[in-house]
Amino acid sequence: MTIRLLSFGDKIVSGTYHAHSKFSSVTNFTCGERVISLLKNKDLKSPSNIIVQNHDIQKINTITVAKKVICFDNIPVEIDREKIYNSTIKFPTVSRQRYLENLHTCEKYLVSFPCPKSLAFLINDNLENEFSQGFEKLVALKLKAGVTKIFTRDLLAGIKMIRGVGFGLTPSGNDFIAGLLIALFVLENIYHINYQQLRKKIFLLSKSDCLLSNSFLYFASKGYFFEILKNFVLSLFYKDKKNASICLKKLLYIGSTSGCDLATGLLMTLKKHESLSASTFFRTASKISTQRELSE
Amino acid sequence: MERKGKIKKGEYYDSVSLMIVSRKINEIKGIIDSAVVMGTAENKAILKAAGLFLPEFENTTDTDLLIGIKAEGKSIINEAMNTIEKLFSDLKNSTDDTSDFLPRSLEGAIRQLPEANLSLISVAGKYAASEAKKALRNGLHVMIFSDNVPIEDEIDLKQFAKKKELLVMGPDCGTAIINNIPLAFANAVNKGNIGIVAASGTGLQEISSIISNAGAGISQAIGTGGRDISKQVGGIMFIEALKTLNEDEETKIIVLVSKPPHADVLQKISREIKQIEKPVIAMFIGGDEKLVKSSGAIAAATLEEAAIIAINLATGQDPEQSKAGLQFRNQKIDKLAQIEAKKKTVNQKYLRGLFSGGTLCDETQLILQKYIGDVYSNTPLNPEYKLKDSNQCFENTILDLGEDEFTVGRPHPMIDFSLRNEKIIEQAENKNVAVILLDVVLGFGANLAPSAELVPVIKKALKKSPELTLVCSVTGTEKDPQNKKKVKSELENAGAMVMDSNAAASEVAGKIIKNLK
Repeated sequence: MTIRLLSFGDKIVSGTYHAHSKFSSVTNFTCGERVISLLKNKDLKSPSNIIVQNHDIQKINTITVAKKVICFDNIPVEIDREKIYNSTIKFPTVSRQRYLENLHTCEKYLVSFPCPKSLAFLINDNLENEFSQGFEKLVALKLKAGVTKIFTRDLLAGIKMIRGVGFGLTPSGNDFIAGLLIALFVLENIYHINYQQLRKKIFLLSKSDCLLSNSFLYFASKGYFFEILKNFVLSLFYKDKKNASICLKKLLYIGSTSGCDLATGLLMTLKKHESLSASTFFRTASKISTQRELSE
Repeated sequence: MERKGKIKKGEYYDSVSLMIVSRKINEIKGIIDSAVVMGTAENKAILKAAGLFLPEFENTTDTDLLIGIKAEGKSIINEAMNTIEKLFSDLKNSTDDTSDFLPRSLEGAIRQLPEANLSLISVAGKYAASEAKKALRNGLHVMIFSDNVPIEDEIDLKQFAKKKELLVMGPDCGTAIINNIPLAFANAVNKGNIGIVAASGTGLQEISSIISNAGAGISQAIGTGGRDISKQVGGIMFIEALKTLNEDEETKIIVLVSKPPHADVLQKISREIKQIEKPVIAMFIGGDEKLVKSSGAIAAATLEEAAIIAINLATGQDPEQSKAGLQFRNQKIDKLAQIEAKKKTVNQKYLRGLFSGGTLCDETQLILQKYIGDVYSNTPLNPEYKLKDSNQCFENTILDLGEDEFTVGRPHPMIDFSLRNEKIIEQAENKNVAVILLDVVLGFGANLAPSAELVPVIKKALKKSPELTLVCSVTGTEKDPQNKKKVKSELENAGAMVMDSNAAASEVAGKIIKNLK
């Protein structure tokens, strides 16, 4: 049986990975704290995904990654350099006007067509009515309080409040944090402000026992993008409004609310940065992060 | 009140599956509150606050799935627990929507094709509104082909769409051309700079085909469904579509077409036309021409005239030239009608129109008024001329065979010619019938071999009544799968008189009957 390799994430480290969790279209493998995912959907290129064709991925239990070869159980496949997905992103000259226009359009799109029970309610209060039952309402309240704290007073205290909160395999709060981390990386690159330490601290503060969630947050904190996210971020700077909305739409359809929650964190952070003159909030945030000793 | 919980240790379910389980639990009657979440410390704190925390949750970790339920009684809790087990078992055995290419739901289709911005809905009427709402919530424009959608649902959908800056075409919208793609019953036309808003399917087809056949083209043709211009719906989408075309850079000229809108709706549309900077041509069959003109629009008397004015404007010519061209054409029709009238026997006095397109049927009645006054119909312009029995023609009669009374249990007459074929022979056998008038509508969705169906019938009819004039119009283009040129030639060879537009065919038919008087 031949396995055709379609994409290989550029941040996959050599080692032997064992099956961790299996879904119908994806199997996750772990090696210590590292996670890689094996899947068949060619649209989900990411720094840690291996995408293959012609194979029942659920049958594979071990993946061994070497420098030039991957072994799926006992089937070796050569790593074609052309198939290595580049998760990094660069921002050559950017048009601030286009960026601001796209930011506005995308925020409007997000609140007009949000996934049900996603964090888009943090941008538009009217969407809060979707959380109808007791537990859901409490989740929404907690997230709202945490995000308010993030953007008004104490970023790290806010992160502590929302990490691990909410629905889904990667809780909504963590998806929001991933969006915020991506936003910090983007701002760092376009405005040349150093948020590297802050990103690291946010990641360490958000880490949990869940390897899948940690892996997601780690890549966000390092500025390694999965393809759909990369395309969306680039579209904010280099595409017209229509294409930026299409890229956002693709992001919104990831998971149940994950894509929408991440987009909320990303867009809210970028928007807040633009609305606060002289980036008050971010300077404050950096200051806090360098002074505060993390409790965990 | 009862509480119960469950821990799924070390079992992983993707977010979509967890959301499905959570939604299904909440749908069970008697459930007070529930939670399906990963066992993070933060989620556990909220479970406590919500009264859903159970002692066994205490030692769980971030990777455990916790399910907490509060319900009105034990039996409900048990039902919920059984539902959960079954759902998780089904989810484990299910295949993913995105791994194959046949989505089983709108959501699955959107995941496969996130670039899509329009959804065409053709399901039983009672399900159409909920599917349409789903599509709108996902940011898609909607075309609802389905009929039998309650008017309250139509209003709700259209108001919702307006807020989201989306279009709802329909319900019962059979025709649209979006970005040069024909949707449902539509023709293959040239791309161009003329936009159409239509609350009339065959009206849209006739105008877009005439425009394309003349070498001009269509930017967008937006159908709204016939009920949009009723008093209840208030022309919500007709007006939104008009605004959309006004903002569309590719559209330079706008054509509006519909059966007569309700007076209040016509006023609203007229007010909106005043705000439009692009030239607007309006053809509201039997509508108040003065009101249309006062809005600044150019009023057209027929679908053909609307198309020709639009073509002239698109090519930088004076729209008045269209009227002169049509007058010249009608003079030729006069002579043709005189020749045909002379062939008739003394008994032949009446016209029978057998239509598949509703708007074409209305347009014919309007044109005939000029020559022979009101005619009988199952859908008369003048209610006094309503046929007592739609299956019994009386004097001059025009039938819309696309009406529900003729389509119960059979496909639309644009697809299935059998009923009309029977009626052609039946009318040919009637010694009082001088002219049979037909519309032949081509394009996607329509009968793919109209000549094969009609030619033998036309020959048979003319054999039974050699003095009969059988006039046809053919709506369509040479790019259509049936090819207009080919169909026209085959019908002419069979003995039919084939005109280029419904208006021309109606002129001939009306003038022949007038000459007999």
